[in-house]
Amino acid sequence: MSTQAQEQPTLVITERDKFWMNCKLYQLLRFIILNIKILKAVDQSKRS
Amino acid sequence: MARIVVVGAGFAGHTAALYLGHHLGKKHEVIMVNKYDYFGFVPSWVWVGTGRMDPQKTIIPLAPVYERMHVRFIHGALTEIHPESEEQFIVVDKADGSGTTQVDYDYLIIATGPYLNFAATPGLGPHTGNTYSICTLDHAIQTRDAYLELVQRLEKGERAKIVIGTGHGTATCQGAAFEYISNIHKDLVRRGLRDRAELVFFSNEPALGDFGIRGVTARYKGQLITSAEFVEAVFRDFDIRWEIGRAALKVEPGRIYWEDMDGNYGETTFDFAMLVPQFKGHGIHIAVKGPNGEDLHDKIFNASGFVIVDGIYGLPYERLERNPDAWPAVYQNPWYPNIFAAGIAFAPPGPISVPHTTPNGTKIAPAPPRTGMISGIIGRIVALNVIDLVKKGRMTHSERMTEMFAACVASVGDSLWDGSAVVIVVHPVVPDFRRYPNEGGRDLFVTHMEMGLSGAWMKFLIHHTFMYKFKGLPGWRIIPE
Repeated sequence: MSTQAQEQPTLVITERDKFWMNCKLYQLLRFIILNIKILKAVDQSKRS
Repeated sequence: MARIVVVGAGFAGHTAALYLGHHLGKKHEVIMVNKYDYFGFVPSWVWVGTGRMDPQKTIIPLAPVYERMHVRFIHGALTEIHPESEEQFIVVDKADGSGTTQVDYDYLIIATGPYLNFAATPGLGPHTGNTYSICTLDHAIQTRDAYLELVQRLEKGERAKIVIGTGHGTATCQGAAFEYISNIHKDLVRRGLRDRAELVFFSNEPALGDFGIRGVTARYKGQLITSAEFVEAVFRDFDIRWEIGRAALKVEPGRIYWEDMDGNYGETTFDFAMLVPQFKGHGIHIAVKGPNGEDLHDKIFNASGFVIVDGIYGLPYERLERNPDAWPAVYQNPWYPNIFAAGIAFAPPGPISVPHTTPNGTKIAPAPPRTGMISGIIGRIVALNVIDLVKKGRMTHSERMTEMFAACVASVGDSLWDGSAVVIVVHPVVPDFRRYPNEGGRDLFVTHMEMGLSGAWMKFLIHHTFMYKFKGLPGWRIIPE
């Protein structure tokens, strides 16, 4: 419960993940998608 | 002419004041009462706390903004509310030491933010010299100085154990602690000192990534994962150890005494610690008086000092989690309909995370976060309703936290070239199992988690666009809360 789990982690950040996390072109695409998603969600949210 | 008084110029109160000033400022009187003469952009204080941002870049002097927005500014602290007098008024203790002043109101918005209750955990807090905080600008500066001193010791070859997290069983703001420890990790990597520091995340959350909102389930790399798995992966990658489900009971120099969810007692040692305290409402220090001096405190504030609003209070957690309508919609006090609360000041009907009481009776239940975007949204809703009441006599706006969307960006460093951030988007903030009958009770299309450089850009964008918005400069209203 309270300390670092000993069991096999279900999710691991791999070297490949890190490459994509810092790939400027891919991250620019993610940035645009993220902004669209947030603006769409803000719009969909009640925003009454 | 109506007189609207807003108390507190944080995310909620300042947002409300901007809307009120814009819509009513010229024809009616809008007054802001705040104990500081500046607005502080709290999310960037994690960068102040690691010495990566000049504190002056995180604040906005209020007087020029309010002058432009037709809002009268009173620099002082609210001490009394007189809601049943013929002319309803509040008493403000002026910051210049010239005594108190009486301010009449037709509508009162209480947005006083959190009272940092360090006293709930003996030995906790910057005033004791045992632990640090980044909850106020002064605290963040003090924390930065202590951290940079520690860095100097590490540079001389010393080793240190750094503990970051929560300092009470019912503390909130685990997200800020997560962001601060991630920034310390990144800063130490940048300085080539990471191998000399042991980093420990110490939290009252029942699971990693709970963040006081019962965690998040979202799609990541094509599969459904939980925020627990996600944060665990991040911490493993950063070599950050975690101790969760722990209520700090007492702090002594270099040592936290805690109790875990099974009722076991233990100790965690540290060389440097930043622990977020329990939050209470400022209502614990505000008197509410009737015309004959009678005590009306219980009609506005609950025992923890938060403002009672239109939520359904007293439901057991099992019923609360199945009743999204228990969360307030218009943040209006039921006894005094011209009194509203916004941001952290309103009393939530209960926790969002599953509460736990240990066999010894200690409560370990992260309190619901109502900071940042959530505060801003509530500030807007309340302001628009007051504008409605003044102009039309009825309210037309509402938004419960069970309907609300929120985005949280937790930076990992501040570099726009090789920085990163964890972005978590949730809709709704409080799970609604009736509307979204899945495990997480949230919209799986909108709810989202990811980490990468784009998040660092997002954090940078948020800092600058929000500082622009909060200055009330042209176009401020198109920037979402």
